[in-house]
Amino acid sequence: MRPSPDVVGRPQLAWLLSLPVVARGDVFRAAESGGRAGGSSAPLRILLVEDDGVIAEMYRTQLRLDGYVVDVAPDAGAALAALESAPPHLVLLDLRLPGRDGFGVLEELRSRWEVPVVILSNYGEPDLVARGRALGAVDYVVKSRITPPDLSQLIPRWLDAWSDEHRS
Amino acid sequence: MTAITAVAFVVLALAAAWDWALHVDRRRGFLALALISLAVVPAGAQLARLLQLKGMGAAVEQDIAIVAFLACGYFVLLFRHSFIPVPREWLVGSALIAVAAAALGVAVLGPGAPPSAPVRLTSFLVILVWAALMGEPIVRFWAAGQRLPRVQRQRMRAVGAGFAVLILILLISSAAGPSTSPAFRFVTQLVALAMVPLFWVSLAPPMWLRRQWRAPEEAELRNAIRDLLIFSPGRIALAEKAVGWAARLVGGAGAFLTDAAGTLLASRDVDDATIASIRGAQPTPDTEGILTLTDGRTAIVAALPLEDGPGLLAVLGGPYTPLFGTDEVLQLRAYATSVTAGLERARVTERLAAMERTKTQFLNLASHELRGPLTVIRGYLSMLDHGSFGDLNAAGRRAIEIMRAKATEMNSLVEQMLEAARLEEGRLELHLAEHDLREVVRHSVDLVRPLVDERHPIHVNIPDRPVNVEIDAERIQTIVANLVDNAVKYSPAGGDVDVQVAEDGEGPAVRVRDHGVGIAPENLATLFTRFGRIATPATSHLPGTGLGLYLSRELARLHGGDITVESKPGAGSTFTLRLRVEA
Repeated sequence: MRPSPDVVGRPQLAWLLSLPVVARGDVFRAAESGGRAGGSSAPLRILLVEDDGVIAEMYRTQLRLDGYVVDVAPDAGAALAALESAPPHLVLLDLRLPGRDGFGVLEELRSRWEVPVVILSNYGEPDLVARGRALGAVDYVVKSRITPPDLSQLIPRWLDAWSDEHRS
Repeated sequence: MTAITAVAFVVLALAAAWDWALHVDRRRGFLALALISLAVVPAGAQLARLLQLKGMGAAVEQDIAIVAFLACGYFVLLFRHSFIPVPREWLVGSALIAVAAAALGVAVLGPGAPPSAPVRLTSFLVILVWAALMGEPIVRFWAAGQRLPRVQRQRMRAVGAGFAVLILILLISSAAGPSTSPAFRFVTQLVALAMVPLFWVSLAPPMWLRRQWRAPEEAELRNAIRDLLIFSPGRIALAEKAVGWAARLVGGAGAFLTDAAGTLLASRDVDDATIASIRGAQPTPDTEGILTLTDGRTAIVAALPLEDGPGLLAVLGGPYTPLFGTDEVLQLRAYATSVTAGLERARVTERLAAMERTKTQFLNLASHELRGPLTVIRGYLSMLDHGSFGDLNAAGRRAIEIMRAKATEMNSLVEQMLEAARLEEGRLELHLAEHDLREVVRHSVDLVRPLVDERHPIHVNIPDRPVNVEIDAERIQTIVANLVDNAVKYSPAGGDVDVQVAEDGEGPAVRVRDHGVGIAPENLATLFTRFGRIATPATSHLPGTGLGLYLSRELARLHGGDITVESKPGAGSTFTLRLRVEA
């Protein structure tokens, strides 16, 4: 299957190519996907680590509309605290943070918690993608190349891929 | 005959002494002393004959001659030592041997002594010691000459040759003994006499001779200059080559070069203290020429008329460098002109490279920063379109559609700028995979279609069979979208845009044809250049960064293909994207 680049954005991590990808225009309505993992009745919790308040608000609005519970952490410290106090089902992680950057958070996170992390950044350089992958990120998405609704559609797929990987 | 020889050697000795007086220098001193003491021998003999010395007087003269003779040998050793030091033990040992030989000579030899075996043996021994003292230096000079500029080399060899021949003569005549014919004696004297000009040449070679010696080097030099100018290495590399050549050109020992700001760009075989004292003398373009330093060494300086002020090229005379004359000054000045041209050119090249890097950095920075606001704008627009904030009326929906299209356009421009920057920095990597070209092209057109109005109907013509190629799909999409976008833009009056996918003998190709304003032949050259927008009255109002075609062609070339264009002003253009055939 070939990914539509506008949705997933370049660069695309290799293993995600095997998943069916949303094509442009083929957008699910919010009601259909509804932010529920298969069978579970508890709402899914997303931790969004993003220092830009405006962007954070935008994603939070969309994700809430789609039924997710969203926590926003503006820096590394707040992110790790949130992981401690309110463990999320998925982490959306920006790279450019004040103080410790996203990679630093990712490293610590992976050593202490089992949770899928998707890097959400406006830098798309291959070396950064590679580093993210090496540190265990599930995917790498360029913000300016994906819309909030499309991002929301990808969350169930990331969660499925993660639980598949961890079941086996 | 012997008188003439004696006179000649005395004159030589005086010349050497004069040279030493002019340049108070240890090395010249030793050579002068060697020649002086050498001259004492024949001079003393002549003097004895003139004054008709007998008995005690003659004996004294003889003794002085023997001592002077051996001293000459020792001075030559010291001369060699001043260039290339010998171990202490050698000096001491040689001194002892010389003294011993002198003592022996004084004891055994006397004026009018019969040429008995011991006498002959002793005199032979003395000459042998003399030869030994000088032999090593002569060989050394010959060998050391290799590394020196030609002029110096010839001078060293002249000295060596002169002494070598003298040794030879003396050994031969000593071996021959007193029973030699007048003819033989005449010949030996003649040969000895012939050595005088040889020594003279090493001390103070005349201009024409120096020029002749330099000639082959000058041809080499001209080639070196040409090399510098054509290949234009960086300023430092050029400066380093220049100082090396400058020293060789005028037969100097060292050289250095400073720029207008006074920064030392390169130096060779010259220490900081000397550089400082030469710079301190601060020659201006009018007074440039020969400098004499406090320690007696000479230097020639030439100003480099650089754009931002005068630089300096200076060559330092070595211990065995000829007295710098007008000839050398003119040579250096002429050379300085070439060096200046080379430096200016290197500087311009460096500046251009720096400017290119700045442009690329700016592209990078600007595009990254633009991504932030674009994310928010596109994000909310998509949510509005999605219905996340409720439904809009038809006009509202239309407004959203337009805004999304424009935001997408902005995004494309940003991506374009980033790609161009990546290309410049060599960071662009293709993600190759097998694709059906027809699908890729169809998808590209679908992306562009919403942005195009109904005056530009896009017709896609694809073959029935798949056209499989190994490509970076997204980047080919970029190219096709760019070509179609251009086709639309440059048909302001409307018109069809034909997109054709084909596979012919040369491989797969995508052709985009419009019926718009076309391109004049003289504009074809700048068409594919970075920022090379063609501004004609019909098209100057059209938006565009000028990066599109540049990027498209570079991407095509990275795939092993190319983009070509056929166009006629007023009749439209056809752009052809050719891809390498991959089975």
